[in-house]
Order: sequence, then structure tokens, then C-alpha cells
Amino acid sequence: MEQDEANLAAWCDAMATLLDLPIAMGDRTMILANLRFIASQMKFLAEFPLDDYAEPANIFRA
Amino acid sequence: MSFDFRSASAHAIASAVASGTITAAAVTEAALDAIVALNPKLNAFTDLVAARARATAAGLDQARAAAQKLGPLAGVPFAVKNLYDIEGLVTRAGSKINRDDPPAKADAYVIRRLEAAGAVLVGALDMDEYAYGFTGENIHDGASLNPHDWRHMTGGSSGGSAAAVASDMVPFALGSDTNGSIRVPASLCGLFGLKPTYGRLSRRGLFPFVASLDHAGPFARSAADLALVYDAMQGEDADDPVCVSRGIEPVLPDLDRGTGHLRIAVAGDYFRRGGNPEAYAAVDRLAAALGAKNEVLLPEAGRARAAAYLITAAEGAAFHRERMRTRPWDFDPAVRDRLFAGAMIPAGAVLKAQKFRAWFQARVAEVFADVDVILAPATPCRAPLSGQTLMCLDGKEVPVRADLGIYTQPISFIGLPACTVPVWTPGEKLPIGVQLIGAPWREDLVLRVAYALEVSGLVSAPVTMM
Repeated sequence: MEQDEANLAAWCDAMATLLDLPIAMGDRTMILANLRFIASQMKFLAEFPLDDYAEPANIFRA
Repeated sequence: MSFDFRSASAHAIASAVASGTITAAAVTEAALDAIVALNPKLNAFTDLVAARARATAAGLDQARAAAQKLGPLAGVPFAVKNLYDIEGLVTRAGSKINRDDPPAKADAYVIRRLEAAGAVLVGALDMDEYAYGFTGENIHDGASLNPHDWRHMTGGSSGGSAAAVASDMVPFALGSDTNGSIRVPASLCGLFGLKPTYGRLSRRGLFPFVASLDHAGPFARSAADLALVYDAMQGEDADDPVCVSRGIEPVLPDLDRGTGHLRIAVAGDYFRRGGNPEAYAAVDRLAAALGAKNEVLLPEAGRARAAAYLITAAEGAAFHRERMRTRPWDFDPAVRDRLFAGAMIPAGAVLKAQKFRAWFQARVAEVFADVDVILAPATPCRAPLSGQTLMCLDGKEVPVRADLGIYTQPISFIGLPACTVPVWTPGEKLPIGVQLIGAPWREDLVLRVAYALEVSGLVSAPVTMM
């Protein structure tokens, strides 16, 4: 758990540097809370098996 | 001859203007007076275009005097969420940053359609910053408040649109819906709200949020008015690459055909948990009246919400990246911090979400082989208090700003048409909405069910005389 939090914080700092995002202007606690929720949603979605040939809906049509 | 504008439907106003019972100018003045009187309490409007409205109304009255045929919305006042372009106004989209942009050079496509049908634009409406929220609260312009109880929020992001219609300042208004931003405030403010099929209505001249999920749509106080406005908004537009070439498919002529031949079911599983009892009671009451005994499963709807969340966060952040880099201090801090986090989502996660989207769309299409309309809650509860950040749902404490949309997100994720209808419980001051969900391009069926429910007296948007 502690390691997860450290990884999340490291990810946040690395991405901010790479993307040139001025996260110091934001609330770090809130950014990390949002990232934590994003990570949980990514994990939830990643657990769902999709066929290798599944096509993304990049140009979406209803 | 007296004409009670504030309790009149769009149909009644257009009919009265066309027959000469009242002038468009008089209706416009009544709407402007109502806005001046009520807006200080509700904070629905951010801009008025009174001179333009008076000129439009005068043109209609002159046309009638010259025996010209007027359109189906003749003299009906309306307003739009302030992410719609209005010629000569800056399109602020709920933000501080956009106020530095030049004024729009032209009206949004659907505003032009509505004015061509005779409607009279009177102003622009409050919204969550950049449409990223479900509360109707805005740090720059203030919160719009629920006309049924000012202590409560309108819901968002089209909060001003809902407040303006529910308080009878205007008979209809336009909002936009990316994850639920029409259906949620319609539920909390007791209105009829339509999110059409993705690609049905042009979004040209709407400031984007998440282009692959953004929809335009109307709010009204009756199903008939909603259908009237929706029909007038339709039209092919090659300048919105998503807008389809289906021509205009009017719903009004068949609105009163009834529901006897329709296969109507209730969404189960995900849509029967995570909310408060009033959400399910409202669905059950309508289902019983419609004879909808079957429950259907929209498989993996929870994961659909997760995927919609990821696409929203990533696409929204990509869209706002330059603004985040150059003017981070001018955002609502809550929006900014969500966008910062969204910018960091790995591409693989977004691709997985898009693949899942195609999978989910195909599974739900199979469900619609056996069903015409599906009922589901629009929101998991009635309107929270204005400013409330946490709420208790199904025994758990959850964030208001994200979780008001738990039942709308999986539906807009695959672009299905959905109409929120307002349900009232005796003894309760606040309403709650139910979504009527159709297969792609079947707005006609969801509006037909909405109309039948309204005729039966089970759903209504009563005039709130403040």
C-alpha cells in the first residue's frame, strides 16, 4: 500500500515533467486522489478480457 | 386578452402568437421581466440578449402582420447553456479563461434552427466550468439553485438551463450532455430532458468538452414541448463530422400513438444498486403503469462507467492541455486537478476503454433486439444540498460531483437516446427522474413513452410559482 502510494507520486511527478504540466500550481493531494481513482478504474477495466481482435471505437458511431 | 405566459407551454405560446392572441413582443417582455425578477434568486442566467430578443420578436410580429406563415415555435422564448456560440457574445463555457476570447462570429447551428422555427433567444445560462461536473456549481459565476427548494443544487453541468425552465423563466432551454449533464439536472429539477442519439444533432458552435461523447439537447416542461423543440433542432450539418446524414425524422406526428405495442423493460443489476430507495421506487412506479414486468441486463455497465470516466478524463485533459500549461491558476481548482490527473492516463488504458466501448455497444444492441425502451434511474437520489461535496448512497459515503452520474454515464457512453421524465412523491418537495432509454435513432419511442406517462399523470413538470 505504501509502495503503491509512492509509485503513484513518482508517476505524477514524472508525467508532469514529461508533459510540462505546472502541477505545483495545483493541489497535490487532490491530484493524487484523482490519480488514485483513475488507477482503480484502469485496473477494473484491465481485468475485463477482450478478444485480441477487438477494435477500438476511435471514430465512434452510435 | 390575458395570456398567462408563465404557465403556458411552448405549443400554447406559438399557437397564441400565430393566431394573434398575443404578440411575440409581449411574450418576450414577459420572459425578460421573469428573468429580471427570478434570476437574482436562482442564478440561472449569465447573459441576457434583450435587444436581440426584442428585434427577433418585432420581426415575427411584422411577419404576422404581413400574413406570412410563422414557424412552429413562433415567439417562444428560450435560452442556452453558455457553451453555445451566440453571435456577438463571448462563449465562456463556464470558465474564466474563455472570457478573453473574441465574441462568437455566428450562432451555434441549433440556435439558428430554432430561430428559423420562430423561437426567440433571450440569453445564456450558468454551467459547471467546461461542463466537467454534475452539480451546477461554478466558482466564477456562482451556483445555480434548485427552484423547488433554493437550499438544493440543480445538478449539472447544464444547471442554469434546468433552473431557468423549472422556474418558468423560459418554456425551454438547451443544454449539453457528455456523461449526464442534461439528464441529471432534469432529474433534480423535475423536468423533461432529452439526450438524443450521438450524432443526431449538430454540435457546431458548442464549445467541446469530450468530443467523442458530447451531445446537444433540450429541456422542457412537457414531453410534447420537448418533441416540438427536438424536431426543430434536427438537420444535417456537414460541419459537425459526427452529425449523421439521416435527414429530419420528426417525432411529433406519432407522439400520441401510445405504448401498447412497445416492449418495455427495466434495467437490472447495476441499475438496481448503488442508489437510494427513491430512485428505484420511481422506476418501479412507472414500470407498473407501463406493464413492464421484465428486467434486462446491460452487461458490465459498471465497467462501462469506468471506461467512460477514463475517456472523459483523458480526452478532456488533452483538449485543455495548453490552458492547463499556461493558465492553471484561472481554472476552478477542482476541475484543474482532475484535468492534471487525466493528462497522465497511459494511452493503453484509453485504448482499452475504446475497445470496451465497441464491445459494450454490441452487447447492448443485442438487448434491444427484444426490447424497445428500457427504464433506469436518472440519478441515484434527489437533489443534494447546494455546496454538498459528499453524500450517502446505499449506505456508503461517496462524492456528489462524480456519483450523481452513475446511472447516466453507461448510457451516453454508447450514444443511446435517453429522456429523463420527472416523478413526484406525495409529501416530498423535490422530484427525481427516470431515464427512458431507446436503441440508436429511436428518439421517437422514448418520447412516445414520455408523452404517454405524462398523459396518464404519472410524470409532470408543474409550474413553480415563486
